[in-house]
Amino acid sequence: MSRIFLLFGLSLSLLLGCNRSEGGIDFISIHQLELSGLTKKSSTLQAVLTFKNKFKSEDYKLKNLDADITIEGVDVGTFYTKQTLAVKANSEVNIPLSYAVDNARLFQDESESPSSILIKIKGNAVFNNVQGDEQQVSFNHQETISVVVSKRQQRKERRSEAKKERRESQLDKAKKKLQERAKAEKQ
Amino acid sequence: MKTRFIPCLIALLMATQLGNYTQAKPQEDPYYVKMKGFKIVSVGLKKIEFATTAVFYNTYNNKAKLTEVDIDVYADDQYLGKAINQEEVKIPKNSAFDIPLYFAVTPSANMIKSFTQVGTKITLGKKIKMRYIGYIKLKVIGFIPVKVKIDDVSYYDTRN
Repeated sequence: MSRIFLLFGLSLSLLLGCNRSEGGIDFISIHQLELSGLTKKSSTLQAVLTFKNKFKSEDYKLKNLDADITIEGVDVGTFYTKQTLAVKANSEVNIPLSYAVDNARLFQDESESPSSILIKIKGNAVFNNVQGDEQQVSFNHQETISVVVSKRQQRKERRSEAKKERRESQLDKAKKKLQERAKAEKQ
Repeated sequence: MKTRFIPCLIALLMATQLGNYTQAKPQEDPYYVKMKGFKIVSVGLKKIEFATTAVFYNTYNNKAKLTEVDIDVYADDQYLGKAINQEEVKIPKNSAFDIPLYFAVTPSANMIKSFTQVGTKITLGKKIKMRYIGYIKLKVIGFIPVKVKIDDVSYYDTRN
């Protein structure tokens, strides 16, 4: 009798397991996030977004993806793509993100060249299949990255620092001379 | 010789630019993507100020210039006013671009009832239905006008 119950229970759990609709598209991560070619005017934000299609037999296609980009708390802009990328069943897809950032809004102090920056990427991706079923996936990622400063910019910064030092030393010399003259006149 | 050369050069440049435009012109015109970042800037007895950002996509392979913004804003089917853009907008080629919008409302006697309704919704933390109807005008390669229509409904969650 107990064997019958055991078999019945096993078959029931198997049936339920088969009927359960496993699936959906998940946001996995954002990687290779970098802000390169940093100059006073612009820079390029690049990243790769990874999604996973958990459906075992349904292929999907990317319909559109929008991502709001915030750098150091400043809303920089929106990345948008309608590129049709196929996401095969039970596999991952990488979506490249590239956005030209206007640095005039970001770094108002010209001498400022931060070594690390906090980047927030928040958005939605819509996938659809042949039948027209839509899967909407929202994502929210936050990461602090080190800034890749271009060699040209590094040279410029070095030159401007040297200029500043020279000016300061010249001013000091001029002040000293004036003080000496004043002393001499008093004597 | 020199006097002929310069107009010829300008004409040639214009022709190549036009050629580029017609060749690279995609089947799709620039389009509206979404509204984001709706916020109430200030609330006063005389004036209530709102700010939001409209996101569009420039499908052209050329930079464009924003020339006109004409968007009517409705909150819970009540006309609020016209949204204006006060900032300079850079429109890169083949890319999404943001248009910061601002609008102020001066509550009149007729509007007080509906305003109190919206106000109570804000204080209770309920959702407000925002509708944006209108268009923006762009100029591609300096002289080709393009009109992009917008008719969108979004819900503003006052708890956020």
